[in-house]
Amino acid sequence: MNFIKSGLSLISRQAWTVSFAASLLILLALIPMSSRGPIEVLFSNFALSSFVAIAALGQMIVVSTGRGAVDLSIPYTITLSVYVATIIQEGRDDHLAVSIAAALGVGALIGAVNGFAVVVLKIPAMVATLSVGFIAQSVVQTLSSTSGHVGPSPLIAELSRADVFGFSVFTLIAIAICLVVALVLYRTSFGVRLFGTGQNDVAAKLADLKPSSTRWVAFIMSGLLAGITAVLLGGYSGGASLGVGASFLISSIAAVVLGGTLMSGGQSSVSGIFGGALFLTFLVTLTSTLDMTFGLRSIIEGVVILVALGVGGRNVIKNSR
Amino acid sequence: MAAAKLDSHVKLSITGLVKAYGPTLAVSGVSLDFDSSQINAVIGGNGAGKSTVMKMIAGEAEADQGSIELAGQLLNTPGYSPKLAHGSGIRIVHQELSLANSLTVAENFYLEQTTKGSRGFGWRKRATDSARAALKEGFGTDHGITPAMKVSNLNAGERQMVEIARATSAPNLKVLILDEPTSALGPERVEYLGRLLRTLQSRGVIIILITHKMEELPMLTDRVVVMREGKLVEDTTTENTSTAKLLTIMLDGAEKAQEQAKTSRTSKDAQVGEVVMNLVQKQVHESDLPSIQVRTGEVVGLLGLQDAGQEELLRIIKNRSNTGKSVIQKSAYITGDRKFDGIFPLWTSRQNLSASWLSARGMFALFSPNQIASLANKWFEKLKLSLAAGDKTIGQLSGGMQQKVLFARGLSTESKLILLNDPTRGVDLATKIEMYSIIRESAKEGKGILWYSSEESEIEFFDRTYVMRDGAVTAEFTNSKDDTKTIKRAMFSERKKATNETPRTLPQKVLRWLQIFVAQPWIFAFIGLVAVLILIDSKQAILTNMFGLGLILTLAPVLALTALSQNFILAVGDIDLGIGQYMGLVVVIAATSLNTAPLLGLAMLIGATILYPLIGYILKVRQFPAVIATLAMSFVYSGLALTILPNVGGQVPAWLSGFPRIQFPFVPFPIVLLIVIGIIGWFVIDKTRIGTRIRALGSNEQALRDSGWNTTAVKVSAYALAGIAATIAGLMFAGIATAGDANSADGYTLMTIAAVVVGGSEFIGGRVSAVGAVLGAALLSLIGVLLGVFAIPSLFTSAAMGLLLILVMGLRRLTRESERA
Repeated sequence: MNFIKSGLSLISRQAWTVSFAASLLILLALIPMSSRGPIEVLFSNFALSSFVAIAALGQMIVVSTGRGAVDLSIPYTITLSVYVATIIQEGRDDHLAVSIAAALGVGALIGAVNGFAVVVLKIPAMVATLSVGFIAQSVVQTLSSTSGHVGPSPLIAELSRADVFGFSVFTLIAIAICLVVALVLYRTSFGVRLFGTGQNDVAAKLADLKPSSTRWVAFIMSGLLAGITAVLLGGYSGGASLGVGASFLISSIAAVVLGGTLMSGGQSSVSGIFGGALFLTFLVTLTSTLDMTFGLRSIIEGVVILVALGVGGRNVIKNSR
Repeated sequence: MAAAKLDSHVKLSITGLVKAYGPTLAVSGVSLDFDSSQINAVIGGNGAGKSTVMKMIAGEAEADQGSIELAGQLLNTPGYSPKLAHGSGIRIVHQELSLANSLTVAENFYLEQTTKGSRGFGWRKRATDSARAALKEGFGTDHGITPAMKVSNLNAGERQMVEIARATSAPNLKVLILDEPTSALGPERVEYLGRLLRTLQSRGVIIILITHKMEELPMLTDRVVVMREGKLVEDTTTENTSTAKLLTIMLDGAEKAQEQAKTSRTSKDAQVGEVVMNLVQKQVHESDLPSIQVRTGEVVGLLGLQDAGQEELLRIIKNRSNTGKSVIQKSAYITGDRKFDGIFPLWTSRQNLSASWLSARGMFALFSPNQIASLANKWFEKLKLSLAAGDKTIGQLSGGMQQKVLFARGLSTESKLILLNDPTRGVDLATKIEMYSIIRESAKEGKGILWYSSEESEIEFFDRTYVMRDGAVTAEFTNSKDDTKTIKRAMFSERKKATNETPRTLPQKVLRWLQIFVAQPWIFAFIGLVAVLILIDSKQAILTNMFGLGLILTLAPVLALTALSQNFILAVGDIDLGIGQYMGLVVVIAATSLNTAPLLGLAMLIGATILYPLIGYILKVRQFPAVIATLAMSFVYSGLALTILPNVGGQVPAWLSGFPRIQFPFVPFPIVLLIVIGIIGWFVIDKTRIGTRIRALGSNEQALRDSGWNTTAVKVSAYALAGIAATIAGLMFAGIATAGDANSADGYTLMTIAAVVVGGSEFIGGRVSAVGAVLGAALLSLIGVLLGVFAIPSLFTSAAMGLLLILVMGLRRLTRESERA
C-alpha cells in the first residue's frame, strides 16, 4: 500500500501528469462523439501536437532563464522560416538540404539578435523579442509580396502524411527532438547554467555559471526550434502564408504553462511540454467535434489557461520551499 | 513650560529583551530605559545586537522574550507590527531607506501620513508644505531639495535628509530611532541634524541614535549605551567618557569567546607563494593604499565597518572588471549572504554543490548523475555532512550546512583565489570552528584567500589584514606583528572624503534643471516626434499643415488612450497583453447592442470594463504572472466578441461615428484629443492621490504597505482606470471604423507596448509617463506616413517600429550608464 501511495505522490508531483490526465479525459469524451476509433483520434492528435511541442520547447528554454523572460518573436520566426524554406524548395526536393539549413539559420539568427538585445542592450526580453518580431514580420511581408505562393518540398509534404505503426513521422521527429533537448537540459553543463541562471542570476554569475552567454544561447535555441517547427509546418500546410505561425504565440506559452514549467524560471519539464501540447490539441479537437463556434472555443482556451495558471501557481509555492 | 517639559518625559522601557536568529543569540536579555531628558546613542561593533533591539522596538522584529513599554503601556503584544508602532508614534529611519524612488519628495511625505492632512482637496499642497517645512526645520534652506523633485534624482545624502525630515514631521511623533543618520551627510548637515534633534528633544520626543562615528557622539548625544555580543556592557553620559574608553569597552573581550576555536596561525611555516591577485586601487585620498595583494598560502582579511565597501570590492575582484594594471586570477566566491547571492533554491544540496564544477567543464559537456554523486560524496565526507542531506532541497538544510555546501562549491572549482564574503554569518559556533579549519586547510593546499569578515574576532585567523573605510582600502597590517586592537581601531579611523553634497552655485542649478529635462522619460519620444515631423515636412509640406496633420493623426488619439491604459498597468509593475482584443470586444458591442438597444449596450460596456479590476484582483490575490493571465484574457475577449458578432458587420451609432469628424477651430481635432488625453493622463497619474499610490505600489510595495495602505485596493484601482481608458479607446476606434469586427483592433496590443516603451515607461513598475505615452503614440502613428513620403513600401512599417524600439531602449540604456559614470 505504502509503495502505491508513494508512487502516486511521486507521479502527482510531476508537472506533466495533470495535462496528460486532462488529455486522457478529453480523449474519453471524444470517443463516443467521433466517427473514428479512439486510437485513430489519439494518433491524429499526436501528429498535430508535434508542431506546438517543438516550438514550445524553445519557449520553455527562454522562460527558464528567469526574470519573466518570454520569447514573443516565435510566431514571426516560424512564419519567416516557412517562407524561406519553401521559397528555396520551390516545390521540389532539389534544394531540400539547403532549405532546411536556411530555415534553421534564420531561426538561429533571430535568436542571436534577441540575445544581443537582451544581454548586451539589456532590453527586457519581452520588448526585445517583440521588436525583433516586428522586424521579422516586415521581412515576411516583403517575401510574400515578391514570391507569390510556393509549394513545399514534396518529400516533406509526403512525410507529413506518413506514419510508422500509426505514429506520424512528425510525431517521431518531435519525440526525438524532445529527447535531444532533454539531454541538453538535464545532462549537460548548459542545463546547469540555464536553470541556475533562472533561479538566481546573481548567484549564477558569482558561481561561474556564465548567465550572459547562457541567456544568449537560450534565445538562439528557441530560434532554432522555431526554425525546425517551420520546416515541418511548411510541408504539412502545403506552403507558406502570412498567418502560418500566428497561433504559436499563445500555444507555445500555454504549453509551457500547462506543462508545469515555472514561469519565474529555473525549472522546466520537457515531458510536460509534450503533455501540454497534446492537451491543447485535444482541446481544439474536442471543441471542433462539438461544433462549437469559434468564439466559444476561444473563450474556453483562455479560461483553460487561466485555470492552468491556478494549478501552476501552487506549483511555484511548493517548489520554492 | 517647565511643567510641560516634565510632563512630556514619557518613558520608553525595554525589559529583558531576547532575540535569536537560528542558533545565534542576537540579543540576550537587554533592559534599558529611554526618555527625552537626554539624547541617547547606542553603539557597538558589528553584530552587537543594537540594530536588532531597535527593530524590535519598531515592530520589525518579534521579540522572543521581554517587554517593550511606552508611557507604561505594553507595546509588543502578539501581532505588534510596524503599522502599530507608527500608530504609537514610533518612527525608525534605516540605513537602507524606505522611500518610493519614482515619486517626488512631497508624494513620499503624503504616503507616510495616512491619517492626517492627506484627505480632501489640496492634499498635494499640504504634503508639499509639510515637506518644505520639515526640510527647513531639519536642514535649513540651502540644501537644494525641493518637494517637487523625484527621489531618484537625489543623491544618498539628500535622500537621507528627506527620510529624516519625513520621520520627524509625523504629527504624533514620540520616539525617533535613527540608524546611522549621518553616514551620507556632510559635516555641515550633521550640525543641522544636531540642532534638529535638540528641537525635537525639547518637544518631548525620545531620540535614539545608532552610530559608528565616535567623533560625533559629544556633539549629538548626552548618553551612550554600549552593546557587545547581544548584551549591555556600558551605560554612561557622553561627558564622562571618551572615544578611547568606549572603543576599549566595545572591542574588549570580543575575542575571548573565540579563543577556544582558535587554530594556530601558520604564518611561520606557510608556503607563501605566487601572487594570485594584485588589485590596483584608485587613490582618492592620500591615506588610500595604492594596491592590495593576495598570495597563495595566505589568509588575508578584509575588515571594516558595515557598508565600508567590502562586498563591492569582492565583486570587482570576482568579475575581474578592473583589469587595467591589476592582475587578478580566476577566483571562486563563497558568500555568507546565502539567500541573496549563494544558493539556488529549487535545487538539492548536491546540485547546488556541483553547479560550478559542472559549468567549468564547458558549455555542452555531458555529465552523468554518478559524476555529481561522486563529487558531492567526496566533499560531503570532507566537510562532515551526512550523505542524506544530498537529496534534500538546499533550503531544508540548516544555515551552517548550506554554508558548507557553498564552501564545497567554491573549493571544487580549483581556483587558486578564494573570495569569502563573511561566510560565517548566522552560522552556529561548532560549524564556525569547522569552517576556520577548512579555510586554513585550503590555504595550506596552495590557495590564496581574501576573507571579508564582519566579526572582528575573526582577526585571529588572518595572516594579513586590510582595513576598508568609506569604499577604499586604507590600511594594511601584518597580524603577527600588529596588535589586534590597533587593527580594530583602524576600522573606526576617520577618512576625510569629499562629501556627497557639493554646494550649488547658480549655473550649476541651471545645469541641474537641464539635466532633469534631458532625463525626462519622454525626451526620446519628443525628439523622435519632432524629427519625424521635420522629415515629413521636408518631403510633403502639405501633410504638416493643419488639415494634413488632422488627417495623418486620425488614429493617434486611439493609440494614445490605449497607451495610457497600458501605463496604469505598467505603473503597478504588470503588463497587459490583451488590450487589442479587448478593444475588439468594445467595437462589436458598439456596432451591435449600443446601436440597437443603447441601454443594453451600455450595460455590456460596463460589464466588460469591470473585467479589468476583476483581473487585477485575481492577479494580486493569486500572484499570477500578468503576462500570461492577460494573454489568456485576450482569448476570452476575442471569444466574447466573436460570439456577439461572428462576422464583420453591424453599424456603430451615428453619434459615435460622427465624433472623429468633429471640426475644431484652428487646431485639428485629433491634436486637441491628444492634448486632452495627455493632460488627463498626466493629472491622474502624476497629480492625484490614487495615481501617487499606484506609482508607489510599483516602486516600493513594502514601503506602501508599511505606511498602512491596502495594496490590493491600489492594484484593483489601477486596473479599473486601465479598463476605463481601454473602453473609451475602443469606442473611439469604433467611431473611426464605423462597422464591427472582432479582430479589427488586435494590432493594438503590440503597438500599445511599443508606444509606452518609446514614451519612456518602464517595466519595473512605478515609472510611467502619460506625456510620453501620448508622444510615443503620435510618433508611432506617423511611422507609416514617414515611410510613405520617402516611398518606402508600407511593408517596412513594422520593421521600422521594431528598430525604433531597439534604438530607443538602447539609447536609454547608454544615457543611464553615462549618468552613473
